[in-house]
Amino acid sequence: MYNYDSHDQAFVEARSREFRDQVERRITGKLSEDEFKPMRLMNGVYLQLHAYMLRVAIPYGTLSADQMRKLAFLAEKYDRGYGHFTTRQNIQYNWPKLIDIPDMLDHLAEVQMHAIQTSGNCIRNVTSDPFAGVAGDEWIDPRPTAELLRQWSSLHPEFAYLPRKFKFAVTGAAEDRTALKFHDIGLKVKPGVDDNPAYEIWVGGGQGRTPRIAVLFEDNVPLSELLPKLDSMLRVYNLHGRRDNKYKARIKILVAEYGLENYRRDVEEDLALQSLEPFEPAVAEYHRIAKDFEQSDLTPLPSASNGDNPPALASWIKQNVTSHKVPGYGVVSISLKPKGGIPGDATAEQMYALADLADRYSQGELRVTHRQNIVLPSVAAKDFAALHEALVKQGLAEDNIGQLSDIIACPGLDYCALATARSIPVAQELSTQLREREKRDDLSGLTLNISGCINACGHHHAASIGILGLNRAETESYQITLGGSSNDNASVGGILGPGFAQSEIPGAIDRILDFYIGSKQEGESFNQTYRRLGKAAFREAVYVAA
Amino acid sequence: MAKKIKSDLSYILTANELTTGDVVFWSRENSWTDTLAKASLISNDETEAFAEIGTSSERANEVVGAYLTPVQQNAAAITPVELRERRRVKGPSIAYGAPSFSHDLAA
Amino acid sequence: MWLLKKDGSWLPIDSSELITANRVTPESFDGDLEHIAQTGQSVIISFSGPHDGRGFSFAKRLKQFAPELKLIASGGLTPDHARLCFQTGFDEILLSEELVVRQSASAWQTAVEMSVDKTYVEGKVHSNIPSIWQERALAQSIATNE
Repeated sequence: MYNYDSHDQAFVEARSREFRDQVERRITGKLSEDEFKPMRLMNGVYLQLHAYMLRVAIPYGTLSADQMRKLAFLAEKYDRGYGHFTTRQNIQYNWPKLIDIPDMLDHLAEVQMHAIQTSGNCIRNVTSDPFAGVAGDEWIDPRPTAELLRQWSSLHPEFAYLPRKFKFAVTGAAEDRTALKFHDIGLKVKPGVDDNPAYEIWVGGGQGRTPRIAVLFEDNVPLSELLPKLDSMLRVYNLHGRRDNKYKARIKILVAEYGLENYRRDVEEDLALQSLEPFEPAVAEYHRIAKDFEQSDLTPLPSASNGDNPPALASWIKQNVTSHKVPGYGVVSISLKPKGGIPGDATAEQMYALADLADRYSQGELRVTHRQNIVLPSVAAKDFAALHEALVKQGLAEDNIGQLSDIIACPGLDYCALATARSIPVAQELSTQLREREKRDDLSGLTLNISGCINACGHHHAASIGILGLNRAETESYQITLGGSSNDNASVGGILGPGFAQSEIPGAIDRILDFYIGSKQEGESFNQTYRRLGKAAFREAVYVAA
Repeated sequence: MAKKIKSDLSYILTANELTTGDVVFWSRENSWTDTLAKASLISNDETEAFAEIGTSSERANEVVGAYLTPVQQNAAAITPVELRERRRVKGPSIAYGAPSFSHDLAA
Repeated sequence: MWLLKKDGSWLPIDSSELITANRVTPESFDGDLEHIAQTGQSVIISFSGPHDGRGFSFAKRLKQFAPELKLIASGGLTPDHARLCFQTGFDEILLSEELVVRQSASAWQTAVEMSVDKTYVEGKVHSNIPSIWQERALAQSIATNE
């Protein structure tokens, strides 16, 4: 993991003091709410439906056990004993008081954490592959690049007030586990020359009201040219991105309306003017950072025999453990989607337990995934049984990673000031129903994502089955989309038909699954079946039967 | 700051307290309260005057985001008309924080 | 009116002193940097409000194109914008009496000394203290030479 030096430490402490001062000036009226709002957002503080919310950055989803303990402590001391892990690998506290947040930031700084740019119209916390450094299909560890981007973008003077939020994802593996093509900029790290990486730069992806799949901006960009290029890409966006309509302000709209070729030309023109001096240390910085991520030596172990495992353990290993690049180890995903539970929520007690388990079984390291689960990246196969037993005690042993019941859901109208309908109760009811169904049917590989408004924080566009909650005449109504995907063949789901009442959703989902299972051909995925048969066939199955 | 005003409804004035974020309502005692039942019911021709109370309280750095929202009242309770506002006055509909896990696997 | 300079100095100013300055709004700029560079020594770049960051990128580009120009920021800013202004190429910030009184003169007077004064890429605005990356590079080269 990356370890702060004295500069990093001084930087987060200074930021914490700065925010304390801003809060003080707000409370005494020296800053109006209009002036303060972007400042608090840039530090992850929202005003939600019932209370303030603090979103803490978990850079590229990587956490130490001590950091997880601190998150648990904050949940206990300043919140209501729980936190919510998000689709951007962060954690949210739903009930902090504004006057307590400066103290929370001081606590975070003690463990090399912060809330910098977890909201606001700026470069958001960079996300990455939760299996980084341990995945067998990895070309290059994406984390040094993600950390370089974190440093470059943190409190960047020029890009603090962009037209709209700006999201980066970085991956370095064959399989995309980051939803790369749904990001404003997605970077694929590949081997370059002289031990330096090179990059594919994808631009203009996003979800929200106008979902777009990113397009390739440039291939084979050497490390030495990466940051000046990104700087110019952001500058052109900052100057020319639309500010008249917040639904048209993301870079995806600029690229679509202005054209990729025009955008590219403007970026090249800007690059030609740029002074490269500030970026000269970047390559050395990259290698300094990369040293921190060099895998501490894992001794290959003989693979443990799983033949005699009790069924619950065997099923959990099959479903939740992914192969590790070192023999005898596994990458263990811990589901935060218990049957009937709230997707992504963990109690303080569970967070403390996860920290202890990381110390005991995974070199003190944890990851957060964009599907709102937790990963212990390096667990010896001989420890699977003991780990599973400990997880069972914490209610964290659900064996549904990659199953349909591994649902993504945004907080929805239970918390969010922007939401038009609730998401969580829908997810809870469906997960109860689907856990039962998964005993009979193989529903692995399908995804179900739920958003409580058109902003699509629950990634409904990118799921095999997406659910979008809307407000129709002051009543919740849910629209179903089919055929979306966030992997390398990213696609946007299509709207199936008229919306459903909340009570009609379980029946509709059952009919979709009945039709898919009855119609699928050997080896066909849900999206393949959907594309072969077409929307009309699914619509008929769902609505006619209703 | 007032949302769409319809003539046949009453309104309440609501906001969030600046320092805590708590949801508050303008009460019949002319102060902010966290109890909806104590909220002052505002008739259509009083909306401007109460909107002004909200604005001046914002300026005094007591609350943020003050606005009027339509409500229906019967003997039992005050109920906001809008879905979002009904949720806002009730709080989350879910058993958050408390474990709501099934322990199938442990069995 | 008040003027905050990059070195942290702070002085009242008569608006007539700025009468010769060229005024530009980033939103109506036609892209002709050459034209602006030719028209004068001082350019006032107006921000449409505290949420609109175009002025920062505009200043950065203009300063790179014509380093001799004096760039002055104006319009609805807060003391927290001062670092951003000076690190993107502005030389001065022009402030209304109303802003200074409400946001407090002391906050503006100390704006260049606020808690965060340098970043990984940009050094301190009022001294020769380099960016964090440059400091690390310097420390590394000293270590290597020893």
